[in-house]
This record gives sequence, structure tokens and C-alpha cells, in this order.
Amino acid sequence: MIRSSDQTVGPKTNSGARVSRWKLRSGFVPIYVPFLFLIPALILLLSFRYIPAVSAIFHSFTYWNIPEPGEFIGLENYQALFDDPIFIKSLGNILKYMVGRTALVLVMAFVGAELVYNLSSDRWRNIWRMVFTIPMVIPITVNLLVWQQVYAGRQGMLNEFLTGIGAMARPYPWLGRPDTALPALIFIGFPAVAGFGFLIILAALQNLSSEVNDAALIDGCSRFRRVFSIDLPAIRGPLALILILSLNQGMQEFAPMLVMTQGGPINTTMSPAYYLYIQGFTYGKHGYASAIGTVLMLMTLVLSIFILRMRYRRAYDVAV
Amino acid sequence: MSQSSAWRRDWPLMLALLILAIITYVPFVFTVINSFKINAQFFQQFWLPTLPLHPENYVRAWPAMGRAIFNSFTYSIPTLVLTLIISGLAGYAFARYRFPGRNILFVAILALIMIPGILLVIPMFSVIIALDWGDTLQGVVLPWVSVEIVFGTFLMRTFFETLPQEYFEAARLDGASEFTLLIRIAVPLAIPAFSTLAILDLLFSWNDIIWPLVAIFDSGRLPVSIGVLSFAGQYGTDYGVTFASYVIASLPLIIIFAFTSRRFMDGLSGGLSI
Repeated sequence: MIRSSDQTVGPKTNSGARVSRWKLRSGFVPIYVPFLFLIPALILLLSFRYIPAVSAIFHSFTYWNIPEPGEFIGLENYQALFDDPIFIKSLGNILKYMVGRTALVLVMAFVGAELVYNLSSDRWRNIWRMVFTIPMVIPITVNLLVWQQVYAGRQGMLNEFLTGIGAMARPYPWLGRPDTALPALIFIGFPAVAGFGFLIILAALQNLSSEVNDAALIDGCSRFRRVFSIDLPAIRGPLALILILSLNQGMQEFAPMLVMTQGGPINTTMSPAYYLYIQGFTYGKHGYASAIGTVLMLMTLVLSIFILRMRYRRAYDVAV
Repeated sequence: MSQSSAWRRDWPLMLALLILAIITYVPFVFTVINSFKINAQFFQQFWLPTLPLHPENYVRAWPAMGRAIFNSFTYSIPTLVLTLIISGLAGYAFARYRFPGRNILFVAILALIMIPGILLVIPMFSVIIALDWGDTLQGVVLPWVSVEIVFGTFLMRTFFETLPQEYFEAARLDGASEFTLLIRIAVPLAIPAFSTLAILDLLFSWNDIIWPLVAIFDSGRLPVSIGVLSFAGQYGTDYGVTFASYVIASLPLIIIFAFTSRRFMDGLSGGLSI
């Protein structure tokens, strides 16, 4: 963290030879300058992130129906929450979804990035990178609606394909049955190569020094072995970033449930975030919804800290 | 390496990539093909294009979708401008200055990534109601900007730290003010990073469902992300028109991306890590 050359902020003093040399090298900057640059960000974050976060935690202990002020009821919301079978069910659902989705996205992004990285032609590398970037800019709701059509019981792509090749006798309503609805949501966008993770991993691989690879090649390391013994450990920083972003996103998943299943059938795709939305904005139980959100935040926090600790345990990062 | 030996080495990789790409694109190609059919054609021929084409599906989808696209731009452009300015300033402050509380402040901002956006929707809704900001531009834009500047500050700081200190030293010796350094040296060099942030920001503001759903009551002001949803709800049984609305909703960002993709890629090529 500490770099010697860019120490530019300091108290303004007029005396001392050391100080004047300093001044010559980099010039003094009044201490308020960085804060001036930070003010707009801090004002916005305070009003729309920090204060609402505190407010949400506070209101989780109240009976609250906006625009009425909250009425303090202690732990009642939390007691009701952990007696609420739908909420408990949604926790189990989201754990399955989060783990399944993250595993799929992480593995496929890595596989896709390695395939592209190992090509010997720069031109084709750029072409494939573009091919797997374009789907990223399709609006999420459109993507979900298209995938609703993929899974649809009637006129669904998956059914037409499977019955067409003779793998299935009759069409199956993938989103309409309790046993397949959640897995169907996990596999949205299959093969899930195209995405932010793919771009980050590919960029990280392309920034690896070629000398290490050449040395490994000379030592008789196979390309396949190199992927696991060199590439994978070397890019654990970006991988940890994607892991955290993906798990956090999974934990808060909301859109697929809202667009495709409305939490059904029989709550098998109910997620805590979507349940929060229903409790807050369909039933107007804003205190109860805040309690759901607070539990969700605690789970996210624990998870993120756990990943960060795993990532920095016994890790010494080689500068790449 | 000669052309043919490169092919001999690469063909399994190319084949694997081709298969992945085909599976990725089939649902979208299917949507485009079927957006030109009427229901009778769709029921008769599922996968392949049929004649005659029915471009009037697009004419029917356009009024609602065009309005939603217009609405999305009115929210997205101010969000974009504010996000770039505010993230640029904050990222620059973290990258180029040392000041008391710098690390704590940065960690405090990054920690916001871990707070579920949906948790904040409820108290923010109460603020919007209290200020009577429902259905207003600022009621949509300012909360969006506050979400985006968290990652934006992270991205811009990472980029500004890679700029060589010597550029700034030289200009300082010539008597340039701190603000001049930012505007004349840092910003022009950071165009790729700004482009990356711009695309990510556009993606976010085009895709967010939850906040517009909460903060906008007038259905005539809804952005594309929800507009396409309610349109599909109304025309769901008319497959061609519904598919046409999906294509219309996707086009603006694809067109914008086509013109900015190179800079977007350049901005990400430095890599991101924790």
C-alpha cells in the first residue's frame, strides 16, 4: 500500500530544507483537496446507502407501514420470521440456487476463458471474446423472457428439441413442476460462458507473464497441467472477486423469480429477496420486510468475510 | 507459426468454442426468426423462418416499446453523466492523494457492495414518499447513481493508480493546479476506463427492475426493463409481436455497444482483482 513517490498531501509549513526539497519534487497539496473531490460521492452514499441501511436495520424492530412512522415492537418481526415456513423454505432455495449458479458461472467462465486464451491466433482470440461479450448487453428482462420461452411447456424450445430428437415422448413444463423449477432457474443462459466473469478471467490470463509459461513448457509441463498448476493459482485474486460478486448476487436474486415463476410452484423458487418484495410492497409490511433484508445482509456479510479470509490465508501474491 | 500448423493445434479449441457459442445464441436467433411470424406460421413451423415475413409485428410493438426506450434514456443518460463525474473525482482522490482516513474511507465505500440493494429499497421508498419524489427524474436517478459510484470508484481508482506519477510531477512543476491535473492529464488518459464504466453503468440502469417498480407509479414513465415485461403480459399469446418487442428492447444497447466495444474491452484488459 505504501508508495514513496506520491506522498503529496501534508501540513503546510514554510520552514525546513527537507520540506522545500519535497515541495520541489511534488508540490504541496492543501489537505482539503482530496476531500473536495470526495464530497459528491460521500453526500450521495450517505443519503442513499448508509442512512437507509441504518434505517432498515432500525425499522426491522418496528411495525412499519409507510408513510406511518414505525412502532417499536422489539424482536417480534424476527420471531415471526423464523416461524414463517415460507421464509425458511426460501432460505433453503436460495442456498441451492446460489451454490449451483455460482458453480456453473465460475466453471463455465473459466473454461471459456481458457479455450480463448490458448488459441494461437490473436485475431480469433478477439473474435471469440466479442462473441461471448455481445449477449451481455441484452437486457436481463428480455433474457429471462426468452428463457421462459425456452422452458415453456407449450411451444417451448427445450421441449421441441427433446421431443424432436426423440429423447422425450411428451413435452414437460419445466418451470411448472416443483422438482425442476429451481434447477431450471439455475441453468438460465446455459452454457453461461458469456458474462462479466469470462471477461475478467480472460483479462487476468492475458496479463500473466509469458516467461512462466515458456519455462513450464520447457520443463515438459503439458498444456492441460499448466491450466491447473499455473493459471489457476495465479488468477485467484480475480477468481475471488467473481466468487464474491456471484455469491452476493445469487443471495439477493430476485428478477428470475419475479419474471418467470413468481416464487412458485408451491414456493419451490421463492427467494428471500422476492419474499421481501412481496411482504413490503404487496402486503405493506415494511418492518417485516426490513427484518428479512437484515437477515439477508448478515448472511451476505458472513459469506464475504469468509471468502476474503480463505483468499488471503497463506497467500502470497506474485506480482503479475 | 504457419497458418496450417496453427489450425492443427487450435481446431479442438475452436470446435469447443463454436459449440458453446451455438448453444448461447440459439434462443436469441430463434426469437429474431419468430418475430417475423404470425401465430399460424409459428405453430406450423417452430424453428425455421417462413414466408411471407410479417414485419408488421414490429409496427405493433413499436409504440409501447419506443416509449419505454425513450423513458429509459431519460433516466439512463443523467445517471451515466453523474456516475462518471462522481466516480472519476472519488477514484482520483483515492489513487493520487494520501490523506487521513483514506484507507478506512475506501473500505467503508467498498463494504457497500456487501449490503443487499433490496434491503435499502424499503427505507429509500420511505424517503421518496416523504420528499414526494415518486415519478420524478431525481427519484430514479440519484439512488441509481449512489449504487453505481461504489463500483465506479473502485474501477477508477484501480485505473488512476496505473498512470505514471511522472506525468503529474512535470505538470505540477509547470504550475498546474490540482484540478487542471485531473482535467488535462488524468481524464484524457482514463478514457478507456471511463468507457468501461459507462457501459457497465448503462447495463445496470437498463436492467434494474426493482427500483423503477418501486419509485415509478405512472405506467407511461416505465423504462424498458419493465416495459417489455408488461408488454409481454398483454400480448403474451401473440408470439410474433411479443418476440418483436424483445428484439426492439435489445437493439439500443447492442447498437451503442457496437460503437464502443473496443474501448470497453481496453478498459477491462488491465484486469480487476481483490
